[in-house]
Amino acid sequence: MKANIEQLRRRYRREWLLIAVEQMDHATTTPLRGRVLAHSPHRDEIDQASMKYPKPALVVFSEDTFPPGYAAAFVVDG
Amino acid sequence: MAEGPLGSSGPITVYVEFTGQRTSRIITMALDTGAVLTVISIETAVAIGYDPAKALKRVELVTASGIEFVPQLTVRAVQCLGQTVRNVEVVCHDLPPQSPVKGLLGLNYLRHFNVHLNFLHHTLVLHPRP
Repeated sequence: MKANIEQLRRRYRREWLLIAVEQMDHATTTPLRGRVLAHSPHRDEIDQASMKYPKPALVVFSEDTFPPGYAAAFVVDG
Repeated sequence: MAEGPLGSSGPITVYVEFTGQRTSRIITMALDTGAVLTVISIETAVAIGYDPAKALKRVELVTASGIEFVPQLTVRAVQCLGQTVRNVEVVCHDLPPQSPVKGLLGLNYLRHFNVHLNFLHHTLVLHPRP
């Protein structure tokens, strides 16, 4: 299904998506439109599909926020 | 100068494109000034054409489940807000499954720019360094 990326993210709520990007705003590195190749609530399933897909693609969760009750602190000291 | 939206809640997330030897992946990442190195998932590294298991360099990473030695690779190109940096060192590590992002955009990318987090106007601006 080819559609606006943000619409796809709203449609597949709390799922991971593998999307073939068909329109891109290169000036802002923002995928605009694409076609869903796979979707799943389980990240591992999308990871497996992504590793097999040989072309450029977007891997994204439907939302940018943590589930309720979660917080995170990421520190990486190289 | 490159400008993008800044959310009003949650982590600061950005679309980032990683280009490797095979192909490219766009993922959402947390912009993380507490991360010295950029972190991507093992899947992302494999998908774009690298084999983390064969990485010559490993770094110690303290995680919620203990200390891990994780692969460090050099990725051909990293692009955010249209700004490309070539030959970027990345650490391969899967964030917890509850994480809504696939990685951390760290200082080794961000230091190529003057980064302006404008919370008043909800914009993230990258100024290339002169």
